[in-house]
Amino acid sequence: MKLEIKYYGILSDITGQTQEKLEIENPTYSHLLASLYDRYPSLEDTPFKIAVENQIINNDEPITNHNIALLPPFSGG
Amino acid sequence: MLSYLPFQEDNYMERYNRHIRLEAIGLQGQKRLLAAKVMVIGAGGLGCPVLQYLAAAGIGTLGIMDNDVVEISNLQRQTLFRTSDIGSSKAIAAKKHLGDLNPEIQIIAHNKKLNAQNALELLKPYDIIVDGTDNFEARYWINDATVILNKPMIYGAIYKFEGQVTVFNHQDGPSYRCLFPTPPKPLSIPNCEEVGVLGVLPGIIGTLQANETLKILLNIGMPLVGKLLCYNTLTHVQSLIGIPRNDQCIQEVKARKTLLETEASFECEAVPQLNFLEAIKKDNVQFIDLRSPEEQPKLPLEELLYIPLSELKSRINELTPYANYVFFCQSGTRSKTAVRLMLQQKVKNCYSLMEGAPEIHQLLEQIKTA
Repeated sequence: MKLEIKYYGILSDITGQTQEKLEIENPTYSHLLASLYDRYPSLEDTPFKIAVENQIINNDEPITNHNIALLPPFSGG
Repeated sequence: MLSYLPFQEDNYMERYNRHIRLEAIGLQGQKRLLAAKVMVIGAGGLGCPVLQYLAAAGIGTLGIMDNDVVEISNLQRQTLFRTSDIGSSKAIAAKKHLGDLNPEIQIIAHNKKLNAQNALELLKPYDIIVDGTDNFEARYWINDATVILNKPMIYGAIYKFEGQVTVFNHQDGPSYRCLFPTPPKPLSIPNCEEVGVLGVLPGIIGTLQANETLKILLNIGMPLVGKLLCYNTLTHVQSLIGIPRNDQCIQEVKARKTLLETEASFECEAVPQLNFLEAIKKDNVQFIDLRSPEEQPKLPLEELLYIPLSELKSRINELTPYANYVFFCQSGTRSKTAVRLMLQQKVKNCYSLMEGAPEIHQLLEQIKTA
């Protein structure tokens, strides 16, 4: 599946872009994580949540929609 | 009726006329706002617009908690303050300006820092808590306190050009820990001071927090329960991201009934801490001020180095060998991060000062006059 990934906050600084397309066969939560860590090793130091079609998902759910968002915590105020 | 109103009923009707004209608010809704008690923690970028709109809206009791002083670098976005406020307590300056905006409400200034001991007691009298803080430690204390006290937490946070808003602990919705169960590792997420922020961003996000507060008090519309609103000022793209409730997470906090002492408790690595009076009694002490050059007040200490936190790793060689290194900053957050960093670099005898620079400054003044 061709995933459309949006990077929020510091993740767009780390990846150098606000969004990109990524082709992953039968994607699951961990598949996606693994290929992201491959491309951007420093992502491992940053916590984030994965949202699929605007809903945060938890570990090891299959990904059934191409609309992905990666959300890190923000601390600024 | 409302005993603290110094004005005639007519007059007070006039002030809130545009609210009362709205069918969904009316006189009854306005009276509800006048009876409400809201605590705003942090009178910074987010807190200023929240306070301005809530005071203007006639929130009967408005608490302000902040122990910082107004600095010149705040004025680019914290529009409640004036140049003449520089050096004054934020909580007290905010109270002064808000009292001028609306003298009909009660404004309580808490010129102190939230911590694990005082949070539950300070937040208890209020109906709604607004989180306008700038660090994860305080955000997790506010979350846990509002879970334990069963009060809504109006969350807002910003990064460069992007903001997040949501309502936690309301209508069986999720808490902050349902989204992020534990705080991120130190240094993994920088704050505004380190990376900068567009001045208007906290204005937008803080105004949205004030909006959520009013909606909940008036019981109108759909508060952002279980939905994280993400807003980008550069593209105007907004998304609403669903946050599932993690019941186990919430029950664990409820069952604990008290707040965890430090973020280190979550991470299972305690940071060695000292208070100022203990520190000055130690032999061979080197103080390190981790703040950026414009932060005030400067402290007249001997054996003092200025190394901003972001430069610490590359400037370790500037430290006097074999000293007792005592780190401090404005609030105590950066100093803990610095000690963790030093410990990772295998530097020994590092301590984080429990007091921030404004508190040490006060202590030094007391010592001088004693």
